[in-house]
Amino acid sequence: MPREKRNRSGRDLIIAERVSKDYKRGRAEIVRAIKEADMEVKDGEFLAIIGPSGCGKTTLLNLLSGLDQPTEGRIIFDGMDTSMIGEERFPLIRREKCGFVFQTFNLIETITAQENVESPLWPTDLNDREITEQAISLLKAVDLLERKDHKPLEMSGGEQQRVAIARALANTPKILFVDEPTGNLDSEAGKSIMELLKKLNEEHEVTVVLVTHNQDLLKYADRVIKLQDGRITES
Amino acid sequence: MVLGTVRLIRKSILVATRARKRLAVFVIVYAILAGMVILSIGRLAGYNTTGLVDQRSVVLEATDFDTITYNQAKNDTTTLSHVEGVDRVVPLYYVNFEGGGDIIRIFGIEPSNRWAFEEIKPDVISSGRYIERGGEILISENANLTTLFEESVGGRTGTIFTKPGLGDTITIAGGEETKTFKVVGTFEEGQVDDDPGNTWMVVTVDDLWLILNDLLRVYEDQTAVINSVLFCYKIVIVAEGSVFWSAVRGGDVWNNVEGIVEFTETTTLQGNYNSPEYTKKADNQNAVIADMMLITVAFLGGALVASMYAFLITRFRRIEIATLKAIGYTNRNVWTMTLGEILLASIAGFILGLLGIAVYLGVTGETVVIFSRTTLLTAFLIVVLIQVPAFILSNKRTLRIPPAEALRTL
Repeated sequence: MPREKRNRSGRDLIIAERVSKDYKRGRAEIVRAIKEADMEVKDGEFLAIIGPSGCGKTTLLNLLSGLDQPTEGRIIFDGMDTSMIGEERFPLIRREKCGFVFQTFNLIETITAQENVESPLWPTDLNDREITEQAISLLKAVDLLERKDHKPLEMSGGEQQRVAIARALANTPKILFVDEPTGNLDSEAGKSIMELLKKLNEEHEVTVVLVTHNQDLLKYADRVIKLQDGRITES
Repeated sequence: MVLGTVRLIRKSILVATRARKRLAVFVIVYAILAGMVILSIGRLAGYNTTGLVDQRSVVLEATDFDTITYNQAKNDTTTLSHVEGVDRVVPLYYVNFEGGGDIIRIFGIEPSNRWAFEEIKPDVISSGRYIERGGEILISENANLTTLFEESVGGRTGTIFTKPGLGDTITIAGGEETKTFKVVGTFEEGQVDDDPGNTWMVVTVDDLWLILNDLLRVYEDQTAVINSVLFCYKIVIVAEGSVFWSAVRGGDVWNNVEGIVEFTETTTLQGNYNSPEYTKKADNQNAVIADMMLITVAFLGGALVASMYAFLITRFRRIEIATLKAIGYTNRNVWTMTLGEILLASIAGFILGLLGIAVYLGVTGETVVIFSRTTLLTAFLIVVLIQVPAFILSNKRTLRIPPAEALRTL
């Protein structure tokens, strides 16, 4: 498995302080997608952020993960103010500490499952053998070893999402950001993916931040934050 | 991070080869453009090689064989080299071996002046290669050397024993000395205007003197003897100036050519030459302008296609690039991933273009010499150079793709 067990510290891994995010719509209109959000993500927890479509869930996930910068307020990520981290350094921090699982899987279609899982490690100084071993171990963990030479389009949606999870774990991240992971899956595959994420959280203490509009997924979370029109309404 | 960067280039090539249709389309387009670049560079190089005589030379050919002596040609060469606008003057000397009614003429050529003589330039090599150093000899392709020559040559005895053919050796003996040459190439006789039974051979200028001095015991200071053995076939006067820039600036080099022609027509030289042969300024200028247009189209077209490819790669792979950034790829990492694909397409296109030209030349039977190391290296450098805008474009576009785009729902 990707990560050695570590103790849940319960410390704040991410802190958002009065975070707002504005977007330009059309030529002049400014839309405030996130409004003065105060929240934290604790180390080792399974946090769900729920809300209807267009309420700003993905925007909040972008801000928490450092994929985007807030217009106002600040995000403290593992003790670092994200606005102080340079543009070239942030990807390295993401590579070291974050994993991402997307609703549309976002696998590279032209390469195999194993190569997709290996891809986050390609720019690193690990040798090819170490990278292969890591990918094989992760594919085994998500129960897809026998499909390692298949390309994404030769696999079902559930299998693709498992590959995406394995890829997200390749760098042994502290935290997984998961965006509507079951949105493109049937209920059986969706359940299996959620159980896998829960297992990773419980047995391997990977912090999970899940964004969804699906109420059925909340049962997997330790804590739920509700978002309405860009504002946190319940935490 | 060197290991990582090398791996990224490797992997980007892997990713590119899996997108077969996209790669194939661009390899073919690149091949066409690379072919145009190679041909253009070949033509440019030709102004100093294959097209040297046509473009910027005046040729004075002897009215007949054995009429212009060594000393006459030597004096004429000195006179001509002082004419304004002359870059160099290249006389072509030969020595005759006679016997059985046929003649073997052995010419001495400085390998660096190999393009100066239309009849025996590298273009007309039919097998093997041109001579490059001492001890090598070119022979006409249907050389018939079964006759043993033992007659007097300029008062000395010369003997040739031979088995003509590529890789065979020809031994020339004079007195007790012998000199063995290896046949490294044969040339077509189409351009040679001589009696059918006569055979032409080509050695380096140094070897020609070696034959004269060591084998035939004829020395330069023995005026009467050397003038009865060593003759001049023609003198090529190469004009000064760049053909390429002349087309732009109004024809300096061709004005020089016409100045040389005027000089030869108004000055009495020691040897008897036919009227000077040269190509008129207007004809040359038109040919060069056409070539320059071909080159411009090839360069601009190449740069355009490369840029288009870079644009399309970053467009087709937008979500992929955003995802890679999200999972921890730096801008440089992502750029390296696109770079490999562009490089692969261009190199594969270059090789395919080269093969295409080889096939074209094979089918048409054209003997344009484009596969020289310099031509190919220059063409390759230019193909790489026209990638620069593509690399800049792909870099800019890669930088602009936000990683957050990976999280957008499609």
